[in-house]
Amino acid sequence: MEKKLSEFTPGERGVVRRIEGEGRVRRRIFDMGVTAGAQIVLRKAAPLGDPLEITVRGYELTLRKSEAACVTMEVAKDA
Amino acid sequence: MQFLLLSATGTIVTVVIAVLAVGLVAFGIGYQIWCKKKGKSSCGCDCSSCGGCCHSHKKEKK
Amino acid sequence: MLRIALAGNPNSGKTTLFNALTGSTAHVGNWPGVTVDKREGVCKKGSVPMAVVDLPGIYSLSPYTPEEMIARNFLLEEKPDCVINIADATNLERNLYLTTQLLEMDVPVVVALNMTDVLQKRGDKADAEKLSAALGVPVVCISALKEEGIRDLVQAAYKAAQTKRAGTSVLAQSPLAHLIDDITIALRGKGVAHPLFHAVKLAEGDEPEVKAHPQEMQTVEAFKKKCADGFEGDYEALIADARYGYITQHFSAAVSRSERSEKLSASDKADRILTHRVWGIPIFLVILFALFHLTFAEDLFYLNAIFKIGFDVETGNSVLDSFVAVFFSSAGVAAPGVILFNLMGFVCTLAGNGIASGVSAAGAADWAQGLVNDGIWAGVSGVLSFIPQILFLFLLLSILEDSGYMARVAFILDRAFRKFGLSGRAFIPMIMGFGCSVPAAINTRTLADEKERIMTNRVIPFFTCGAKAPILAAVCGAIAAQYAGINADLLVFALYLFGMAMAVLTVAIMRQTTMKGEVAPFIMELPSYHLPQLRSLMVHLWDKLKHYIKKAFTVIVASSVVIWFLSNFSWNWQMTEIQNSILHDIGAFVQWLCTPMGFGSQLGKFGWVFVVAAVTGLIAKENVISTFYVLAPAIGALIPGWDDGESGIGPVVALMQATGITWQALIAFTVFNMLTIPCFAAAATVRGETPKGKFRYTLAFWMLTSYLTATAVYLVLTWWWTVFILLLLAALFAAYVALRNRAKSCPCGR
Repeated sequence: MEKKLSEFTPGERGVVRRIEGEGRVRRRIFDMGVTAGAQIVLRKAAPLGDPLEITVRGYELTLRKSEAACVTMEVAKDA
Repeated sequence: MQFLLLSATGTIVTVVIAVLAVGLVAFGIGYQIWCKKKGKSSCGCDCSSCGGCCHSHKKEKK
Repeated sequence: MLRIALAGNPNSGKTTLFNALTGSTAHVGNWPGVTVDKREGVCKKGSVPMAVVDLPGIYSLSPYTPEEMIARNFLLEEKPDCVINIADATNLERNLYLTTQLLEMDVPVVVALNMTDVLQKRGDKADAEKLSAALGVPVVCISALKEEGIRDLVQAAYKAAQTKRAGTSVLAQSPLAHLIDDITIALRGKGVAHPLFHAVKLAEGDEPEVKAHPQEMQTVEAFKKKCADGFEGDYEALIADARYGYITQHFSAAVSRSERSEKLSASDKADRILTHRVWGIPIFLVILFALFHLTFAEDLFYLNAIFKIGFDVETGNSVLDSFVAVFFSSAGVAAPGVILFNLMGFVCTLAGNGIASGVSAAGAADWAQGLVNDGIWAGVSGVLSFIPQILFLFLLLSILEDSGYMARVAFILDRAFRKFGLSGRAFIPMIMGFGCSVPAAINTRTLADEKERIMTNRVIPFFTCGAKAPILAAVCGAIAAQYAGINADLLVFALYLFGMAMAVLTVAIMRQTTMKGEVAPFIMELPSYHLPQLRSLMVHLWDKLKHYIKKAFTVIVASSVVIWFLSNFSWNWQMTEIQNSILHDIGAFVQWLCTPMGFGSQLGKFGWVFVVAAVTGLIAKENVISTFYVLAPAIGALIPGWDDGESGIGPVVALMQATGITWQALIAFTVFNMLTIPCFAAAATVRGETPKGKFRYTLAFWMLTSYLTATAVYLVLTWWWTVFILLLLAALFAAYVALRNRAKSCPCGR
């Protein structure tokens, strides 16, 4: 099942399918290791519901929901 | 003149204080200019706590 | 001398390695972006001394922020003999992403696998040989913190620096290989250095490259057209995927991971509480309050406030009494910061008395005695007596910084900040502003968006720095001493918060008027928590101390002598009473300007000292206090029953009595000093960090904000009902801005 990263609930995991958006921000997302095939776990959301904290490639990354909305995920089945 | 009323040591100490004061001011001003020339931050630090501000960041700017 | 550059991801330990290599003590912290400028040192650990350059951390060689541009430019233009690529072994995949880009340059590379000790503790293993085989460059396992493997690394780097290396790319197997080959050959024909690197960046559509090589870009465009459907025309994604694909393929062989238990680590547990959905923000405020309470509280446990318990100790021995008063007073048990302050005051008083009797016994002329006691010593001791207390605050801030909490604060506050027009990332340089505005302003290079950078630079001085803290401490202490029921440390905390609130408010106003635009994106690594390193804390403190001492004995002492001279001599070079002095005439001339803020003409004949203090503060903010200390004795001489407090808050109390300044006006004075043009050093730094030609607006912004805010504070505190008038004015201003913005966004006029 495909889903945007921004729609994940804490604890949910999945694999990156593709990344939309453009320009420098998209490049930055790639640079930080969020590329097709990367495993992502959504750890939690910040106190006011945004930004999000994810684990990707073994480290913690934070990004906003608006940026996470560019990331299309394949939800892991067992979760 | 006040000077004439002082003892010998008093005169010496007075002169030393006067020279010291002028020297301190000159040094304070000179130090600022020196920092400026060196491109150092004149916050008076070449410390590491300034995240490298003392490493001639001015030259970096184009 | 051979030159070696240290490159790697932010927070991967480059600076720790730099310190280990060169024996220097550069600032390290636990958040991405501590180093924002290159820094050179000499390494003598090998057979031959080598120059080492520490570069800002970068995730990729496609620059995103100004400080990343510095690293990239250095690597490309200054041609180091060898690059040591530091890779955090606990986070190898993302770190190797940069490695694959560094390998494309024509420069020898040595990979230093850092934090291998942490890896071992986790039960994981990294195989340097396998990694070296996959990457084609030497790989050395080190622990920069424990200084393990440094010698091997130096040797490997020395050996590599003797050789030449042509760039290699992990993209050689990808569908883009042909395109990259073609451009590489074209660029090499033109004599461009690092042709492979530039070719790959061109294919990625990297902005600086496209500008630099328009001709070759046409080849890329043509290729893109030809096989547009092949990979959906998505080169950026293709290249990043290819890099990470290569890494995962070879990485799995090089690092063996033990079965990770699903249990929460200590870092996770701490994180759960500190960034809790509900408690995250309250906890942050409590931590901030604790910080200031521990530093400034006279009544640490609220014994006096709640139980009315005070400690009046009288043993009959005055020296012993004043020593005991260091720890307890009628106000209660003092906080550690206040104890330090009292101790230093105790020492300063003893030293001051010693100096005074010394010059007196030597029989120096009266004016010389005055110069030493009321000029030099008063000015210097005014600053010195606050040093331990400020250092204590700084220690607490450093602990926060080292633990990894700072990055979490950015995470917690991003949402709230966004409402006002800043990203949470901007909060890190602002918090640094509590220490000193200069490094804080430089740290704004970690911000990607230019408008955000300008605004952050402008409001950093509103975060009360270590030099302004004595003004707050002295003024609030004096007010508390004069008016029962006012709590000094609550007042200090309120003023700190007020500065922060003003920063947020003015940013919001700028966002609506001169700095319109979208809030910058927020993508940031969150480092894992660790216990602060005692050594690095001590290094921070030692540096700060050096900084203070240097400043006290250069700028402050010089200013004090000048102030003393101006306040003791008349225009015809005769020693005179302060009311006939040069300084009086200057001060009285501009005194009326401060009338709206409460410390102008209404203060009568001694009121000008506040204007003078504020002006001397432009040189260095410590001067505000040292000016008080220099002028208080001279004014006291004219007042019967004068209590000559040499250190502590005495001089401020005395000036309050002499001028009759109200506490409201004194608060306005403090607010003015907090918000106005910072010291020369900070102003010059901000000027360097913001685009050319914008600085006069920044200066105007500081002057206007401080003047208007101090006036408002004075009016509201003195006549509470004026708050309605001010609110009305603010509402009118907001309405005007909103209407204007709407008119602009709808050009058709409908």
